[in-house]
Amino acid sequence: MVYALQAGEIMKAKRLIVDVRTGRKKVETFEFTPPKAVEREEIGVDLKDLKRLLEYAKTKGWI
Amino acid sequence: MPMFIPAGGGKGKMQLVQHVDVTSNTTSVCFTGLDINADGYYVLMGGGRNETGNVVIYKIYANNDTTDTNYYSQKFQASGTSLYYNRQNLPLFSRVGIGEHASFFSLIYLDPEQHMRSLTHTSSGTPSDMYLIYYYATSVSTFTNITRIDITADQTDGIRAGSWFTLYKLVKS
Repeated sequence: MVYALQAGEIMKAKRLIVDVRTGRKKVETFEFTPPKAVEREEIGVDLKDLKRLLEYAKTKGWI
Repeated sequence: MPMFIPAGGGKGKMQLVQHVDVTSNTTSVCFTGLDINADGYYVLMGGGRNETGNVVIYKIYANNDTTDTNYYSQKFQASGTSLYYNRQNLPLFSRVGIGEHASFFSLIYLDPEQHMRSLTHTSSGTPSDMYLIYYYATSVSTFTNITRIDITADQTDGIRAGSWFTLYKLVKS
C-alpha cells in the first residue's frame, strides 16, 4: 500500500503555483512528509449506527 | 427577473480570479498574489477523481503557514442515515474516497477577529451511494490579510491530473 510506505518519510513533492495577478503558473518541488495514520483524519463512529445494527440483528434472530 | 433583490440595491458581484486545470499529478495547488482585504471573500470550487489507492484528504493553508496544528476543523459527514462528526487540530478542507470523484465549494474569508475561515461543502461517491461532507476550518493565528492559499493533499500526487480549481472573489461593491 503506497500510503503505508510513504507515511512519515520526507519526500519530494510537486506544488503548482498560480500567481493570480499575472495568471502565470509554475511548478516547484517541496519537502513533503505524508502523515502517519494516527495523524490523519480520524474516522468518527456514530454509536446510533451500532444501536441500529444491534436492533436489526435482533429482528433477524441473529442475537 | 431576479428572484431576490438585496437591500443593498443589487451591488456586489462575483468575479473570476483564476481557473486552474491540473494537467499532471501534483501534491499541492497554491494561489499567490491574493488580497482578501481588497477582494472581500473568496469562493473556491473544484473537483477531481482519486486514483491513488488511498483516501486523499485536502488541507487548506493560509499565507504559507503550513503547520497543521495551527488550525482546527470541524467535520460533518452524512451518508444515507449514517452521520459522522468530529473536530480535529488540522486544516481539513475536502476529501476524495478511493476511486471516487469529489467536488467541493468553499467560502474563504477573514473573520472579524482576523482568523482565516473556510466553509467547505463536498459531494462525493456514486449517485446511489453519494454522501456529503462539511469541513469548516479556521486558523489559530490571526492575519492582517490573506495573500496566499494552498490546497495540499495528504498523499504525494494526491491531486490528480484532470482536477480543476476555480477561484472567485465576492466583492461588496
